[in-house]
Amino acid sequence: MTGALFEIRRLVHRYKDRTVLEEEFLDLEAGTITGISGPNGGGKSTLINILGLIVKPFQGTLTFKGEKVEPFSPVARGRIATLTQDASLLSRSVEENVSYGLRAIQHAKDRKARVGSALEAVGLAPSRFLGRSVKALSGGEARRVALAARLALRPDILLLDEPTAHVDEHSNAMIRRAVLHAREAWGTTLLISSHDREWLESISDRTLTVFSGRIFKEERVNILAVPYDYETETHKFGGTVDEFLNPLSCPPPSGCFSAILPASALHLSHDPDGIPADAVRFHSTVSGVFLSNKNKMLYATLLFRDTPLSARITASQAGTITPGQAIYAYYHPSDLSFR
Amino acid sequence: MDFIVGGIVKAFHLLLAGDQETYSAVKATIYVSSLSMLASLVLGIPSGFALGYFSFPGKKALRMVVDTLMALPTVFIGLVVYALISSRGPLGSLGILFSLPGIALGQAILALPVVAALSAMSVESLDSRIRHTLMSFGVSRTRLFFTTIREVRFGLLIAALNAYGRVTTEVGISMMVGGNIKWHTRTITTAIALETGKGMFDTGIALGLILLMIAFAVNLSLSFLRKYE
Repeated sequence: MTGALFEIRRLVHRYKDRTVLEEEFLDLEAGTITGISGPNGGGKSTLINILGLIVKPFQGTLTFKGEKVEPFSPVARGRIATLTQDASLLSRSVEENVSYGLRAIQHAKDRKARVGSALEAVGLAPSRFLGRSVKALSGGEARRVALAARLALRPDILLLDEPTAHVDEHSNAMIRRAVLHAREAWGTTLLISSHDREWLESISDRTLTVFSGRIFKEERVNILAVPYDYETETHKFGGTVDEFLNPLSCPPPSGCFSAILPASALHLSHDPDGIPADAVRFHSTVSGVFLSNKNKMLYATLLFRDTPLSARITASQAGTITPGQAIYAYYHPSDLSFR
Repeated sequence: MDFIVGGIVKAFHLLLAGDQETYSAVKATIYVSSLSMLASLVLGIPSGFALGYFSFPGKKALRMVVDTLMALPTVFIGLVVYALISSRGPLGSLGILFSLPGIALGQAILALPVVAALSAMSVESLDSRIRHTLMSFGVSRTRLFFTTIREVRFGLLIAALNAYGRVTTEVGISMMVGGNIKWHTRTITTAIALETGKGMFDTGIALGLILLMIAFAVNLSLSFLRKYE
């Protein structure tokens, strides 16, 4: 086999007449962790369902280990597993749920041992949970059982859509630990979508941003809501800061359009007088400083109201900012790109 | 009132004494209902599954037709089957008029829409996430089908139970297609109709009690299955 473990080419997916995902080129290298972030409805789940061979794309090719694959392809059977956002359990015991995938691929050899170790990996004691009915599980336990069922397969590729959404802190920690264990133990290639960008950034070899059906690979990006004037058919750059960042502040008839702002185009300043007059500025709070695994650049994460944002910073700036600190952030409207 | 009480007492006597005529009707009933249920389940479950699972043009219209067929009057089915299998009919060469297989054919037509419509309904009511969940393991189409069937097993059991209820209690088809021939095509329901007409309430009540016991036994075994599954 040459090339990447999973190759995606000229992918287009439509829902009725609307294009919901479009990507020319995407590779998943063996043994890597790829994080996916982006707003709801941007196309993250669609991408995962297509790569997980659950949904057939409208157009494009998927190549796994050098062979073209689609839903029900025998070559991918048991080798690509997906924990979808809405994964449900079968109305059977925990053991039957966790061993389901292994039985589906007729793997009998060490089935019991695999089921046990998968449950242990997600922090559920086999002695207590194997015979339990799924009806007796809490939400967090059910999510962990669903993950264990995928881990038992020891797949080449494991796709996880919001694996830690709507679970308690303990389950959250167990799921995160189990996911990383899969790569360490079996070299599983991981693709994980999450709203927790800080966690994704900390574990991923690269992070993709999926927004408005397009995949942004090169840099951390911010997604802003920008007021749009339907009368003049222009984006109103002269509005208030609230209008630029808070969709709720854009009532009809103006409305809001979403725009992309690269993290490198969002600047920070302690001094309001040092901010160019044509820039849009706002007061935000620093929530952390991170070194990107992918490009080895430093980023500050900010919170403006409840909107998380990222700004690329220099090493000297990193020394002057601390989490919890209030700071001015600004950008030039010309750096916004609309989709 | 006395004749009812007397009827019940005599019914137990007939049952315990192993009355040949009574048991002949019971045997005929069990035979035709088993045959018709087998046919309707084999045809009805896959077609009901397809109807509930897949989307295709005209699905709503087809669903409406199947739902309507659930209310088919038994005498109408009896009439149609009679016409089909009588010596002048297209299936006359089969020679099954006034025979148990003839009754079973009519009863299968009666049960088929019940099994198909109720199976479709249970598949439709199945959590739509199940398909995605199963596909997320990379299962084959065959396993996807059988796992989905297993997930709706109780819905299918209820469909079968409903159909069985209709089949064992119908009179029209058995009377018209079977001819209510003593020792041959006389079923429990046709026997009850005949005996009541003759004023023989005791035999009628005895046969009615057996019908109730059959229904009770079927229900009991289903609840047992549900409990220990």
